[in-house]
Amino acid sequence: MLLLGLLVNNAVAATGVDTSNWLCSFCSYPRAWLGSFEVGPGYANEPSLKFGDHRGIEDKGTFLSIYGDLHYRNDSGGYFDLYTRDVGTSARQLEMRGGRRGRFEFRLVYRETPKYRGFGTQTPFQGTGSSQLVLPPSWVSAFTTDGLSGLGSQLNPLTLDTSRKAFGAGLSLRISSKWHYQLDIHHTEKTGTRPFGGGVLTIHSAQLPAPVDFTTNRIEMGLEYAGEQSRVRFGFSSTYFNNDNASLTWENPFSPIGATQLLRAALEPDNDFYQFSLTGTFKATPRLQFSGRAAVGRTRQDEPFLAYSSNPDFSTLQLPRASLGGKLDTSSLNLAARGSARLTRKLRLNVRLKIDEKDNRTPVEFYTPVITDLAPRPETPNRPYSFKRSQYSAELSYRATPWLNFNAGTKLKNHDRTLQAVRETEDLSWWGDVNFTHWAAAQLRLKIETSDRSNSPYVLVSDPGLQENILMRKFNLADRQRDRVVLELNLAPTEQLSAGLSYFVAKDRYERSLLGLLGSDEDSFNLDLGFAFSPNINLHGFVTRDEYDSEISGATDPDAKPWRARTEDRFTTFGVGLSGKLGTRIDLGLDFISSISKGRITTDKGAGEAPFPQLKTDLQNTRIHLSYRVSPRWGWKLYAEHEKYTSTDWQIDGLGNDGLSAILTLGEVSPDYKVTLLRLLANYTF
Amino acid sequence: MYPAQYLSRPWLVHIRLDLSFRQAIARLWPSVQLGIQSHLARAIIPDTGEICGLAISELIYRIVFLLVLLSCAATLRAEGYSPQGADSCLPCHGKGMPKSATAIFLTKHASRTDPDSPFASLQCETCHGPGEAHVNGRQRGKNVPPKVIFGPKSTTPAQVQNQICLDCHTDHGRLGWMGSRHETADISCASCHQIHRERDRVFDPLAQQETCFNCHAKRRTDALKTSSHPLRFGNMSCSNCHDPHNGNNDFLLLRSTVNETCYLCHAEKQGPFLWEHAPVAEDCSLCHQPHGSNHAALLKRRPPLLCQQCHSPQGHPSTAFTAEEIEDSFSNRFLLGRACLNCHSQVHGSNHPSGATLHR
Repeated sequence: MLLLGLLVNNAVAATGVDTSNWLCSFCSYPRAWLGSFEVGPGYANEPSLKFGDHRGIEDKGTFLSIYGDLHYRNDSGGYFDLYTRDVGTSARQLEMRGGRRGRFEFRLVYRETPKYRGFGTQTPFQGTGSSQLVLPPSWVSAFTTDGLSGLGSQLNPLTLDTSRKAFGAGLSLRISSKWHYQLDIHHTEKTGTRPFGGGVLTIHSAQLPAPVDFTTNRIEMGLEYAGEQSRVRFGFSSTYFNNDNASLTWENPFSPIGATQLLRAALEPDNDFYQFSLTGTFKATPRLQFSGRAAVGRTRQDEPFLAYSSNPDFSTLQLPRASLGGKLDTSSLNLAARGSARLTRKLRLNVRLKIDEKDNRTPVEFYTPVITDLAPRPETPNRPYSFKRSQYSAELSYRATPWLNFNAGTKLKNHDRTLQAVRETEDLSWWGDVNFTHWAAAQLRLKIETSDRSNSPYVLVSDPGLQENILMRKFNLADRQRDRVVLELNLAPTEQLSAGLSYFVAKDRYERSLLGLLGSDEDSFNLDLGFAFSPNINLHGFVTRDEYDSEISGATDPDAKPWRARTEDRFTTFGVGLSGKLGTRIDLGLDFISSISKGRITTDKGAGEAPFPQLKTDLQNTRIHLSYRVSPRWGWKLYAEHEKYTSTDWQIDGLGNDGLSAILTLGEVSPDYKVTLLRLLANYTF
Repeated sequence: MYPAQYLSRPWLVHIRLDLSFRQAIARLWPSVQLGIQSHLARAIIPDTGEICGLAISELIYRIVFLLVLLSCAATLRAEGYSPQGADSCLPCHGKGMPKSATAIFLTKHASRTDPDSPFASLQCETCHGPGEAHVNGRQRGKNVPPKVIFGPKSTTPAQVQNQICLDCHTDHGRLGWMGSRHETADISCASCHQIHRERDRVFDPLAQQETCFNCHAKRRTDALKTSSHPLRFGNMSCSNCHDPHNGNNDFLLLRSTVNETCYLCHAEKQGPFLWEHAPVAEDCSLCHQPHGSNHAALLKRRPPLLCQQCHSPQGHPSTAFTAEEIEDSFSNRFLLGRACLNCHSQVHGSNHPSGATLHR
């Protein structure tokens, strides 16, 4: 305590303020342990994998619900905080941090995230979850799925899901007043199964449950110096990815064509990445500041190659190398010399230079791919793509009055690529916006942006046997005109009422492209309203409408009449909620959200083709929460949630496992559910 | 031992921060008027003698001028600190009060052992500025606001608010703040951060989203779309990809490029692969809509159209698939199920020597 007193007194003495009477006797510093816990049963009335997606409650029945936080404080600045969420489900979270204020801090985080990757799925393959998938011994193969006579009786339900378990540990250390050190380690395991399209011989395919057994370790380190006018941080980060399954092998469910019935695909190879960085700011004058970041890194991948084919006919084909020896150097220079220069009290200039470079140094060799284990291709070189992106921008800001601000800026982006159809892309954009702010009562912002992208000559790059249409322009390499407008208005005419309105429109046009993406539009409108009936009762609501349109063109050959396809996605989201306190003991909340999405795709060959059936999802969610304080320490909380979800997707609905003649699918369906979830929790605060 | 901001922030610094030029002139005007009057008086008062070698009129003028200077200083000094620091504030901002601030005592801002903490220095007034006028005003029943009020609805300019936070929070997270989108848009730190809470809302994944959605309302809708990142239940938060303080990177991303940011969670797609897919190596967002989509895997469009916007060699890639092909037992293999991905499953790149067409 003596030390504490000296510390505080010395600190305030430096300010020149007489604080001899600043005893802080009313300061209610907590000591020892305190916190709150909510424990109780939960119940879901229906099973649904889709409902449990990310939420971790997929089964019907009861589960244990635990939430809580725990804190510790002492007089010497020691502290400890623990937060837990959804401990009783497979989406549990735990976060812990502690240390001594101003000296050090340690952190621990644990999170689980379940993800469901297909609904209603089933498969005849055995060995799900492993890298070896085999068919039942009595399997009868055929050339098409309708000939797979034993399929119906040999299907087994399959849950396609992955679970991501992320563990993080960190330490921050204040070495001295100027030097700080930080270390964070992340360990993530992702396990489960996912759908995988396994091409089978010529024109056949089987949808497979591929194993997922990924481990990623990430280390982030930083040493930071804080000077009077400058700050510098030296950083190191690295990632180590490991896949326990180098390949997936499966049996051909169709009639044999070649000399093998066993097929094999390579799964994601192990890789590692490391990067060194230097970040800093320098305050040259009160009005001129520079900041920047420079980083260099390397990614490596050297997983041993599989053979060209499991077909013994090609067993003599020799690989040019045993493994890729993949090496990819990255560098990043971000002299956002955020020359944040305040030229005058009203005028400000920001300039920025950003360069990202990716230099793929993977050795180039000639390979002889055996396509679908049957057809060897002419020798083909691999293409380690490299690029360099440079970005120069300047932004001028003029504050005409405290409530009126004008901004304008320009940005030039150069993109140099190797081994692609276009070597150089240049994108020049201009924008301006005006901000009007009348404190909290009214805010208006209007931003207009236009950009024009042009390219060096388009020179087709095709692999042997895959001659691309000479009229095709890949959209990221094509000339483009982009225009955007953003309008935002926030009003708070009274203490009780607030309203926010925003409108966004973006148009991309590829007018020089004959084939490929021709254009895409995005329109978005949002309205938010809030009304406070009293200090304790609030009503809020919002409605959003999003529209995305795009149009592409294709042709079977350069002389053929082009066809066009249009995709229109529409989203309407609506929400309303009421929250309030009834007396001193009861808190009440009611929320309703509706999110409807529709998608329409039309392919037009010039013969008045009908559109595809509409894609649709409809989510309706109603939540009620009620809490009742029995005493200052004890209370009850009731959460009730009802969610209804319906969806239709013509790409999968009604297919079953044998709906496609040459593809053995997983029988996936669009999910529908109606689930009511209840939680009754006892709350204890100490 | 103590940070420069405390050594360099005596009361005058607060005055400079808190008072606009117009306000300062208004407060000093009575003293200035007195000075002018004394100047005029020197010409009017007759010289009736000398004291210590100075004409009496000159002496009176000098005394009055000295008083003017003292008055000016006193005017500024009047913007002083409260008599008892936090003890002056807590009777009105204590536990159970409408504007209670006591939750701060659980947080690092109230630590007295950390020399960087506000409570190791001038307590509440480290951030809120000299509070004497506010305290005195309240005691007289007048509503005199604190010198610095934080939050989006504050009358204190965002730059002034933020400078107070940035005096201490200049660590690596804020190295790219100056000139960043949020900074140039005059977003105050307190628009997102809540200091007088046990736990700042932005550190809770669910509450953080709500904070971001207040301005980025479109993202709230995205999170509800058919395909989205797991924000809705708090398994993920905006800050898993974005650093709202860091203007060094495009879109305020955590990493220098879109791909580097995606690889933080999707390291399996990092490669390099033997057979690269050019757009994948360049920018994930060419095919994916990271905030939410109507199509599986956050795709911008649905295969086969997504693929056909770039690939049109003769054969099935260039075929126009219409609704009629749904029933066509040959063509529908390219259209239904996972469409192109029925066979070309390795769209992110293949490391199989025969994976040139991304089959293997």
